[in-house]
Amino acid sequence: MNLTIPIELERFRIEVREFVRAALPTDIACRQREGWPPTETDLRRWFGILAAQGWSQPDWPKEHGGTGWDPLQSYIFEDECAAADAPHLSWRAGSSLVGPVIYTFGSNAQKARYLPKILTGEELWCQGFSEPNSGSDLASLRTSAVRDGDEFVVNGQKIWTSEAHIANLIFALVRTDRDAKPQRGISCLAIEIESPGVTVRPISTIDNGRHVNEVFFNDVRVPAGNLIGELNKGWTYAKFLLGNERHSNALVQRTKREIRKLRDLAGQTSFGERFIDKPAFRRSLAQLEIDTNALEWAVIRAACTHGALGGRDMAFASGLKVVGSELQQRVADLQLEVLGPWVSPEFLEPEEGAWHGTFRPAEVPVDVPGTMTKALFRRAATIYGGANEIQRGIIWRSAFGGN
Amino acid sequence: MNFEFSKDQLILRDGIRRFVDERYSFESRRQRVKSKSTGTDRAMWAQIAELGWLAVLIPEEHGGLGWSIADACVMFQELGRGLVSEPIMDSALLAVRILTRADSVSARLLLPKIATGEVFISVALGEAGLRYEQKGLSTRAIPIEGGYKLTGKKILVAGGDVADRLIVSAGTDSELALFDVLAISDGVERRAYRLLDGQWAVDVTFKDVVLPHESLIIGSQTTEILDRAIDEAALGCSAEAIGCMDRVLEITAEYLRSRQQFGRALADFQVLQHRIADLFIETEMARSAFHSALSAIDSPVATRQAAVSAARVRIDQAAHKVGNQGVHLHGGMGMAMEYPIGHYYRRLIMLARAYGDTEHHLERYERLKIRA
Ligand SMILES: Cc1cc2nc3c(=O)[nH]c(=O)nc-3n(C[C@H](O)[C@H](O)[C@H](O)COP(=O)(O)OP(=O)(O)OC[C@H]3O[C@@H](n4cnc5c(N)ncnc54)[C@H](O)[C@@H]3O)c2cc1C
Repeated sequence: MNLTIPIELERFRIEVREFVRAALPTDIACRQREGWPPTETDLRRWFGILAAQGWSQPDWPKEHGGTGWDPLQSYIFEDECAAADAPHLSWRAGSSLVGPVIYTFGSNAQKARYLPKILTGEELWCQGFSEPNSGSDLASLRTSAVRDGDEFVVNGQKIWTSEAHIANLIFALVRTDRDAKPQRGISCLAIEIESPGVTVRPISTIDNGRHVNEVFFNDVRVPAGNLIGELNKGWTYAKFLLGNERHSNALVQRTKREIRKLRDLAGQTSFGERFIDKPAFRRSLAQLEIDTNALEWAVIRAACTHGALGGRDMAFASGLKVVGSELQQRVADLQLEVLGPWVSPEFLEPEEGAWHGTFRPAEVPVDVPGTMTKALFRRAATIYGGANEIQRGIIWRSAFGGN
Repeated sequence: MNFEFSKDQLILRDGIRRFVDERYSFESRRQRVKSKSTGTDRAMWAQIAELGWLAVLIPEEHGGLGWSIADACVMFQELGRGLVSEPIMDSALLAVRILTRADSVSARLLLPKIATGEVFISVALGEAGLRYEQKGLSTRAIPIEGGYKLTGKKILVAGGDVADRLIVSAGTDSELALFDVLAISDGVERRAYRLLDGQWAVDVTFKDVVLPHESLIIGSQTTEILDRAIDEAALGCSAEAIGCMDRVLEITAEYLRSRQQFGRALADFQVLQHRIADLFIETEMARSAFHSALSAIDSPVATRQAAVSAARVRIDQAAHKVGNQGVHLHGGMGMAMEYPIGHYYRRLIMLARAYGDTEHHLERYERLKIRA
């Protein structure tokens, strides 16, 4: 065991920091700092900037156009992005998660068709797994794809599809064999959102945000060549993808940034009393930092040993998701605690590019509306990517052999 | 001792329940929240007045029912349960309790009109940088010939968008005082916005507003009177939060019973049964802390304050757990505005911070009971 950070990595961190500081447009950082999710334009701009540097896919190997960084380097990269208020690549479902499925299981033609446009950010993907009656029990999904000549005909509905309203493609799990055991009859299809018969309908969420959608498929004809990997092997690919998602879902770098924001809020006089002056609050903050530090080391350990531990590795990844989501909620709850009565207004997302100088109810400081809105959305963290109870089930089964 | 509701209380409660079913359904609420430009609904307010809810706490000699806070809390609990988002707490409780104890006769004469809904009154205490205490407020009422000149800015005034009058706290030369201000006076400027629970509030600026002498409602011992009224409102909010929690438990249990995953109802998973059981225990302990505070609401100041704070700490913590878990147990549905649970969550966040939050009340309790 050697737990010292190599000097090259420190140099790497400085290199990343300097790049991000110079390349990240001030207006994008500003919006992010105020707590608002990036606009679509901003996402694509930042993506483009990273792509030009060859850094748009920090987790992918070089041969597929990624950075080829080792997991610690990608970790540091995201740490620096979070610290500098760069947008989180929230359409990562498309970029960082679908990509590895394609380069691991897809055909050469598919790699050539899809990967380059993911790398440049020209095409964004969303993840079409959940259905109205198949959430935690994903394997029961019913959206069907029936082969008809050179095409599949897709019918059914997805729900909670993040960013489907800005995505170009949906990576959809579909049922291709109704008679097989549920897990054995699922396949993965890449479906263009613009295809005739696809309808995307927004779902408004408790933070008033625009995040998730319903996606309807009505006799959508999809070229057979869009089948990713083998027929009826979709469940394996989905598990592969979800395993990666649990890693990134810990979002510990973003939580570190939120803790800084919390300290900031607690130091302000706008909320009547400075919370940082209260011993009880300082204790909560200390506890939060201590727990976050433990998570950070856990995430780093997972990054360094990924794939080496089998079942325990799966269990550990689920543990990261559980702790990561709970910490995101704890920071948010402490932010609400500082805000006190100032949580009450319904803060509306400002128009794209014009968030300064707009009316702020109750005379709140400029970063409160976005922070509050984000805190509301944090309730989703224990639900998406597999609810925490599901993660605990995975831990039991994969680390302890189940019943 | 008797924990049962009286006959009158039950009648009022059932009336509210019927009203909610008929005129305040979740669907109609959603339609209202969806429309961008509405404000507090005066027509709705007139209906509410007709049902007598605004008269509950007004003394009989002023045209009200003269109920105690404990009696009135059955109403607030039911309003919480039904997710009725109207500024009833400020107008029918806080304002009424202040006016009832007012020095000025003209102020007390407002009470019958409040009961009928003819006069809509809001309370403007909050300021930027003022959390829950009035200490350090910057709104000023300077004595001038014939009255006062009012200058300052108030925030988060519930129902202020349609209010006819505002009760405004301000510092005079010597003391904290409360004034009755016509909302359409020269120099009053209001800016409206929606709150998380669908109610409307305003920020109000007072620029050299000239007030006659009679507008002074309370000019001495204001802090004591205001603190007491705020404690009463804090209990009203507790009742409302308990009503919300009761309902969250019902709809969440119902959801788990009807939602099928893995070929069975979610309610079949023992971990979820236990989760609901824990939330039930939380809610019942909150209710008991609330009863304890109700029993002390007319006690000497220190006893009352400690009891109210104790209740609020318990209730606020329960509200957080129940609200958070209510959302979580609904899965994706918990995040959707189409479903009631998210609306309860938003309401509970606000209630847990109305008239004092956990930190405020823990600190007050500690000051009164531990350090003393
Ligand atoms: C903001 C957001 C973004 C999302 N983005 C996407 C996306 O891009 N693509 C996509 O495909 N999906 C997405 N989802 C869907 C998400 O994956 C599902 O919501 C999640 O898997 C839970 O499914 P469900 O909502 O049907 O809840 P249900 O399965 O109905 O579960 C409800 C609750 O019951 C409990 N529960 C369920 N099963 C068990 C069990 N076996 N044991 C104990 N407790 C259990 C859990 O507490 C859970 O929260 C998103 C969801 C949200 C909220």
